[in-house]
Amino acid sequence: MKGQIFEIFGFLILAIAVIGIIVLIRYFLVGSYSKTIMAMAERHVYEEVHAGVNSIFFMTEEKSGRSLMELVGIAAYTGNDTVNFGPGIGDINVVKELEWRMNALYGKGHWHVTVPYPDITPDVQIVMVLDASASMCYAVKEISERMPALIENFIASGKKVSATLYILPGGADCCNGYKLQCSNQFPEKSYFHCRQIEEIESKCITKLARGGNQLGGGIQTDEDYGHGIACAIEAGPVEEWSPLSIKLGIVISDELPEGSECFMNANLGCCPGQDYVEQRSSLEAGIKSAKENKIPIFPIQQIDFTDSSRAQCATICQRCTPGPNCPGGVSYGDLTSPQCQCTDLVAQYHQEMASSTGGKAFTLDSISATDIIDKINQIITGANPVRKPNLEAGSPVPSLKNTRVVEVLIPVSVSGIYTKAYVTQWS
Amino acid sequence: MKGQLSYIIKPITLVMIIVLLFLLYQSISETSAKEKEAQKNLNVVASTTDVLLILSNSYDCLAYRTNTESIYSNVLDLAKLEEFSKNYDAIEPECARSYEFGWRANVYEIGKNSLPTGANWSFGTKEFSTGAALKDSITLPIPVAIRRSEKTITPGKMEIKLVDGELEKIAGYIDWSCELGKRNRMTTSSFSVYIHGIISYDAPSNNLCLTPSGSNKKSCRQMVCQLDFAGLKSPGEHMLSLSYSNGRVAIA
Repeated sequence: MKGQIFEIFGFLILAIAVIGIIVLIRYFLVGSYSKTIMAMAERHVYEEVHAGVNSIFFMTEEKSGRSLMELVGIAAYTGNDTVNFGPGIGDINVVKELEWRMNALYGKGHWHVTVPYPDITPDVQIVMVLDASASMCYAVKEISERMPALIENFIASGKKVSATLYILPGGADCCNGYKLQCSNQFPEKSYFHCRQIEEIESKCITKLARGGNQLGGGIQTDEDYGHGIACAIEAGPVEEWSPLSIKLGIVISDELPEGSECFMNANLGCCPGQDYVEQRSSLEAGIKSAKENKIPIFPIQQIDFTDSSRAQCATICQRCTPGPNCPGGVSYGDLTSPQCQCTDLVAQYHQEMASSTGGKAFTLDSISATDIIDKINQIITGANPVRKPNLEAGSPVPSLKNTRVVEVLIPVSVSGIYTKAYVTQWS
Repeated sequence: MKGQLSYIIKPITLVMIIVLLFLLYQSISETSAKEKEAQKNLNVVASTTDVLLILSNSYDCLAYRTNTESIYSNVLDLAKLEEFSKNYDAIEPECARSYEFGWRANVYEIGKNSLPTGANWSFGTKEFSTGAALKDSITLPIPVAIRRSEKTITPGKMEIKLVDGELEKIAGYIDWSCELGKRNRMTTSSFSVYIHGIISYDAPSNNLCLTPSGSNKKSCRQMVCQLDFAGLKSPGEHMLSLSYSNGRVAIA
């Protein structure tokens, strides 16, 4: 009996050993091949993700013709997902451009992109429009003498600023030795330029043309800063608008756009209760262009009073050809009407222009315009847009899925530094 | 009683041991078969990925190269796509030819709605082994960019169908011998092949064709060299001897 029990027991051990061998063969051999197959399949998926990421950043956006790598580099520079290429191309939303391409290649809900934006101070580009009537004689002197130095200070402190001053048509000959025109009045610098607005009018005349206007399209008067700023925005600064910059518009005047005269009649100053059709039209043209191009306007109102109580209206001296109407070769213009009479209305117009475009209206403290540079300084100093910390696109990364991450080096435009795009994909 | 019990248990134990050993043998055979199957799958998947990567990353294939010799990975040059569609409509391009498998690639452009725009290009062999002669086939995609001009680079996908079959094996071996012969590296060789059907050669079109057993439908592949080949008239194992001379491969 013992022998038989041992026989059965021996058989059981043999059976267990054979079954154990079968299980081990299946587990190790087949299992290892399954794992290798999975690894090969995963290799293909990874190569697919890598290829997609590589190709996506080389794809171009239709309007600008720029690659997504360039656009992301510009967005990283400006700290904004939307890149503004100025009039013509307009805004390009980098996140949206990434989204449709990534969705097309990987499917919606299967990817996520993060690009940390470095901390960079972007360039500032300014277009300025200066009223060219004689009441601006103080302003032209201040800007000519102090504006280049102001910009140089900013550049020295690490903020790259450039400005183009456009002077409206006119050219009053001021007693202080200046003329309301560019030639020989302003030093040409790489960062500061003065141009007569007539030089760029052809670039924007069709946009400014209005039906029924007896004067036709374009800049109407030496005070037409509404159309003037619209034209300056459309044409851009001498360097042309850069998609990398903060863009600002500044207008300097003491009158309504196109002049404060009621119904354009020089004898009728600031008629209360009357509708200023031409002036409003000019104002709205400026606001429209600024809003379309997302450029804030900062109007600076030159005042025409001689004292701080604003009780006494000033006169302005300009040169003229000596004769019965011009004794001694100089004449004094009274600024009572329409300039002083319309001060509050001008302030309203300026406020509307500023608030509609995201800018701020300033008023000078004295007719001598000595603080005009301080106001421009405030405008440039305040030009620090809120930067986003990074670009985020796609769906949130799921925590329980097998994800693949590909890193792509992104050159940040102009700065000479790099950031990285982290692309995560999952099935 | 003890002895009788022993007479019953011993044969039963013996039978059970035989059954167990049989199971062990079967398990080892099955595992071995699975290994072979897995090995084939590995080769097919790996080769497909490799061909896709070569096509999209190599300047000799479709990758765009600038005047300064910089190569853009996964950015396909439109001019090359047009050239490949025209010149390689029935044969794989040399830059990514596989002498073990056959493949055909299709590149298509994708629009903003994530759908194909209609612009597409294809190249590679047109027909593959079918029926019992077909061992395995796989279709895999890879995302690419299509460079139409400097300022127009659009999204697209390149899909490749890679086939492991008897026609591809025999044609691949003959093409490989042809290429070696052209380079004066080896002018004679031999190999054995098992076919489930018959092989014929059409000299005017330079096509090698396989008709699977039980089917009248031929699948043909364009060859690299002209052949002197009477074909294989019966299914089964065949031993072939190849010799290259003056741009022709003679097969006996």
